[in-house]
Amino acid sequence: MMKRSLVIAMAAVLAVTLAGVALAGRSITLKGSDTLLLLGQRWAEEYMKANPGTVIQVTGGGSGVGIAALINGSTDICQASRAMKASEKQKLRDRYYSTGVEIPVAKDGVTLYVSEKNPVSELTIEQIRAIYTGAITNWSKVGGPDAGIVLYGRENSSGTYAFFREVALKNADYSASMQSLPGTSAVVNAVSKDVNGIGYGGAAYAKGVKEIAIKTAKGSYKPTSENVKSGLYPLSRDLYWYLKGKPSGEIKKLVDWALSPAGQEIVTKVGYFTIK
Amino acid sequence: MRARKVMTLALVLATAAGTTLAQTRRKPQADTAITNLQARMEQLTTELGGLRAQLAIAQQQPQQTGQTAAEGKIADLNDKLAGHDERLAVTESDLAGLKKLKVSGYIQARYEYLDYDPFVERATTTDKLGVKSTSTPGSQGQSVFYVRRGRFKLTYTPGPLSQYVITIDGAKDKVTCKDLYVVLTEPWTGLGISLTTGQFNWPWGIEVERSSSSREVPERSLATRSLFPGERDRGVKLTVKPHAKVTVDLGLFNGWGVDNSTFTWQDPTKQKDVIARAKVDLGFVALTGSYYDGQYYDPATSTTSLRSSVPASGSMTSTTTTADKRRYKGRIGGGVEAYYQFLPLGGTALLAEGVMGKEKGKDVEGGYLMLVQNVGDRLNLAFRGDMYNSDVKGGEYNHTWTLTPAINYWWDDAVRLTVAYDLTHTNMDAQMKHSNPANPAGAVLDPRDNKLTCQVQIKF
Repeated sequence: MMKRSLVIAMAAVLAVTLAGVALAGRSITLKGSDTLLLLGQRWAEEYMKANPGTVIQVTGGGSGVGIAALINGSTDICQASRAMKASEKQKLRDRYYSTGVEIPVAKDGVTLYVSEKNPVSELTIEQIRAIYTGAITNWSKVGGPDAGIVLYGRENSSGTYAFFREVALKNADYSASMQSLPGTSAVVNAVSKDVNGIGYGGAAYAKGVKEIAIKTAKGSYKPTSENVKSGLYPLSRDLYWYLKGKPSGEIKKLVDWALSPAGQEIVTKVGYFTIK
Repeated sequence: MRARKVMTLALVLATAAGTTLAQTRRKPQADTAITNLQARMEQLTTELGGLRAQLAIAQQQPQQTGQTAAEGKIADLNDKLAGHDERLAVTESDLAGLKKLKVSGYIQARYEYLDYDPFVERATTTDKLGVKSTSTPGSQGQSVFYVRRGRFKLTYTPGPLSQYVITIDGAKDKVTCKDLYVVLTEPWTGLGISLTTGQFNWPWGIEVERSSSSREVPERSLATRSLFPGERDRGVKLTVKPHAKVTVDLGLFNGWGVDNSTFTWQDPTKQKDVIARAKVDLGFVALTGSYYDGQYYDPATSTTSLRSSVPASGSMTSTTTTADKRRYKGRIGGGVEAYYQFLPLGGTALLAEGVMGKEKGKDVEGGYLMLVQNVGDRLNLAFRGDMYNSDVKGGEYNHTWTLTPAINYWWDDAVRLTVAYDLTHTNMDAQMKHSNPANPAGAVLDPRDNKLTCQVQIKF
């Protein structure tokens, strides 16, 4: 009788433990791009509301930091505003025998911000390159007042830094006078207070500043949904989630939700553009 | 009556005079008082003005003091901020310098148990008189703790056009320099052309350049260990990337290697060995083809042996001398890497390489095939089959197969634990075979030489 009770008690403990494990919420970490930080946080909030058992932690640091975290296993999902480099894919392959899974989750147009008091409204890509490489240092050269241009940009761990350098600067070096700031919010904040400032970052952050249109042979384009999706805006890009392998379980559920109409609606609300 | 009139007049006059006199006397006294009063008033007014001014000052005093103090504080903070900015600029400048220098490395601490076969006589020597003798070095196997590799690598990248690498290794019983090289990259063509010079890995296949810290099994395959001992040489290498997925290497090397008992800074063959390799990497699959053309140096030898009969000269021995030779050494090889996630457990990898060629006048061939399965993020299971034949035309006694199952577990991001077992099948040569009394004549015996390896690796 005693033995039977012991077995039943042990079985009960085991069952409760297993049930606890089964019911325990899954913790998911998202790390990386500061451009995607706002969106990731909003997604997390909405998803956790709908799925109370799941805890999602979202942190920034830059795309490079997120990719490194994915490789060393300290994040489930890497948020990146640039595509992974071949050397990063090689590291992921060496560690997990997988080339990783790249999921475009939103679209963005890297936006040039200036002060609302700045009369300049459009620039060509060549002018942007000249400004950010230090070849043009005065607003008067691009139709503005006779005042020095103050450059604001991101730190080199940022995917936006890398994307802007590759596409706008054609891999030329940034001017040494550029002030590197930690996060797009800091760039927007600095530009909003500096009448001679210019900065760049995600379209969703353009509050209290003026967006610069980019002039091409076909016309002058602002980073609107139509221009970004059609690719007419020259600094259009995809924003990504990277995973070590094929998603499963709660992570798959989150990915599917982020790509669903409900998830994509949040993309629009935050200020980015839907992937489709 | 008249007296009364006189007295009245006198009184009037006296009164008038008195009044006049009194008035005369009183007038200067009133002026003085007024003057005094006026002066006093003026004095008081002045004093009041002063007090009012003082009051005003007093009333304004706290506000002005607070404002001044705040302004002072702001000025102080500005100064401090400027000081911090300056320090930050200096720190960033120093940090930018430090970022150019990357320090990495790893340590592999091992326990190894090597099985042994008491009947195996592994070495046969011939003395100057041609007398053969056998010994049994290592026949007791081993059970030993040691440090297999302790690498410390410094990579200095001053900019996109150059890179310098030094790797120091403290392994087993000595400290050596593994890598010492410079990479120069040209900025003009966009083809990613770079020139590497110094001491570095031979650009051959997959395994030679694959870091020991990434490998799933403790050692490289026997073919690689035999044909590319030490995996490095001194020379120069040109790398071209005509496409993002294609890399071509072309190298000239001494061909002597660095892990050779006769290692020298000179090249006895003079002629440089040529290595060419092309790799196409599509991400989930990569194909590699390699080619080697070179020479090896066979030094002059002099062998003295007992004569079977005493000639007329009376000498009991005869001496045979061979001149030094430079002999052809050539290899051709191919490899494949494939990565895919078949199972929900994690990624699967298949790595395979084959090589054939001529080494020391003999035809050689070898290769391996390795399968790796990730199980979650921290565990992987690996299995490698490895073969090498050091003399293809020399019969069955030069053939070695090794099967190695291995388990790798990542303790944390830096530490990996490995347990592997090498099941080695080596065909004994004729002398080994004869030394075993239990071995039937003519049979081929696989000696007991399996090996268990337990390793802790920390990588930083």
